Amino acid sequence: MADIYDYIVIGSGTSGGIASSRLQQSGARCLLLEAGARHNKTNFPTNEAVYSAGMFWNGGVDMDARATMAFIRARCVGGGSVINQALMDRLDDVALRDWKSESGIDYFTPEGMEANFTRAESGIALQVIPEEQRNRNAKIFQAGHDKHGLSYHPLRRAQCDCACDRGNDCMACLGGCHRDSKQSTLITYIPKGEEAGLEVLSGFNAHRIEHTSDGVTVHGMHNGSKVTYRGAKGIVACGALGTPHLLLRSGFKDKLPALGSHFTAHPQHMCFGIYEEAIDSHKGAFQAFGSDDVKFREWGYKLENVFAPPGAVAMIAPYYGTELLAYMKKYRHFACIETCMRAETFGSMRLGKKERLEIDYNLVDADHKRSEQGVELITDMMNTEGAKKVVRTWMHYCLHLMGGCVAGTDSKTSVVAPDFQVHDHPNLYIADSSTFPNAPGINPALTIAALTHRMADGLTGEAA
Amino acid sequence: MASNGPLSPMALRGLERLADVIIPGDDEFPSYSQSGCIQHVNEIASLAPADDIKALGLLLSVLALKPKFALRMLCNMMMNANKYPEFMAVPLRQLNIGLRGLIVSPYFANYVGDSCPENTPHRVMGYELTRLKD
Repeated sequence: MADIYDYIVIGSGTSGGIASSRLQQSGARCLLLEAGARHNKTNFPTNEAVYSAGMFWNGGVDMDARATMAFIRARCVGGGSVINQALMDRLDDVALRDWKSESGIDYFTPEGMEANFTRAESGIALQVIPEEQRNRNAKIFQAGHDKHGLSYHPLRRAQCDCACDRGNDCMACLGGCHRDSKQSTLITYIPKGEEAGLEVLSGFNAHRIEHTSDGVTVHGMHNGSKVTYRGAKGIVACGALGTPHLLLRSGFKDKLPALGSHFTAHPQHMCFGIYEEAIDSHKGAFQAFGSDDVKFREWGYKLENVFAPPGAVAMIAPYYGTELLAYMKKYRHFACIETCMRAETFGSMRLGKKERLEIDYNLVDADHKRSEQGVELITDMMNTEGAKKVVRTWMHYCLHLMGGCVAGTDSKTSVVAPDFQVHDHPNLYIADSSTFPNAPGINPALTIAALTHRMADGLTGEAA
Repeated sequence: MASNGPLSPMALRGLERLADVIIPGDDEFPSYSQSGCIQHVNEIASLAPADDIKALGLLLSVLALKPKFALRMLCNMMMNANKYPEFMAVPLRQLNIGLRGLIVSPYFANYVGDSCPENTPHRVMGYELTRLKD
């Protein structure tokens, strides 16, 4: 046990990748632990079934206790930043006001977070999809909004060279970008940290953390053997399911009554319009637009111009047998818009049998209503644009998972203090999406990066 | 039928029978059993939680012995899970998600076996992605 790191960081996604890299570059000695495998642009799996099963936790999806909702989370070096759709939005005034009110944290204001968002944006390349590269699916989204008098905006994406003008199809990057265009921590922060001496261990399953006044000990399995690492400080960055799960397994609930509570998400519901002509939504640039009309903020949901590869489309199709085959034969004729809800619902997490994570997340009536309203609007938009039929999928799924270790000023109702230290646990920190006080209704990736930079500023003494 | 993995040969037989109800094939699409997807099932199953796969394996072994109409009935129940009381709806929804992950998604992802005819699922759908590397 002689080898003691300055920091052990568990989880290598947006938060863990940024934190470990910045701390190492500031002169600390860091170890970055990741449960999943390390890929690079030359060896990402190209088959959707292989990456869906292999690069996501539990073979593809987690479910809530009632199996009404699928939760999707990455398991690979770079985490969600490798498999996400690379959207980078700042929290707006509404979200920050609600966070401040919920948490009591006074820097949750546009001014208070300005430097953090700016730093998060400066570490990556950001682009929007130019007009000439928008595919037919994007144009249906655009026309539907125009005809309904609703505003939308081109989505800002963390990418540098997608080559869609030369024929590249960006949907392939949902299993990892084969061009190093997507600005995941795998190609941005982690390599810079490694240049400075950051050690990265993939395939390490963290089982338990021990916290003492002089440091943090992490127990886990690597290559079938029990392994223990020790750090003067620890950062848990396993996301909104993984971070609470690790702390619950480690027995922190007794001292942290809010651990596992206030879990939330942005439940998503895809609708497919079937058109007479081929739409080829899977070709070219991917996800060009999001709705931004002020009305959507009031309604509590937004619409996004999305699509999915065939395995995922079939997974959520409401058919079996010959109906399923007839439906999938129309794949090239599908356009797709999804609702993404700013859910009011709060769920909770606890340890179940064999220490498995059990998630209670039962949508409240207001959220069911939001979802229905969104689906009705999409159906109307698609019908206006000439869809022969609109098919709604049979289940909600959630890519944006938040809460469970929420930040706040009160240790009875929150887990993490405003400086990101776990309440009453010196030297243990969290800044991932589990700290979100509630669902902001905005893509969380840039905010996770901003919060992590704020934490790193504090730990390195760079805070303004 | 490759059985090197968490699902036994009997469970795989049950899975393939059920999968042929879910994906029966038509004049263009191969049936599930024709696609050879079964070749990869244990590889995918090994990545899911072991307890879940063990329970699924037991059920599939039972289904291996059931007549086709019973399999069709199960599919109908899964698709209409929300109409049942919650104590039945929960396992039906779990089964629906699990089986779709093991059967439907790999088939339409074109994760087919060596025995798959030329009309693979992707070819029938006209699906291809261009991955420009430089």
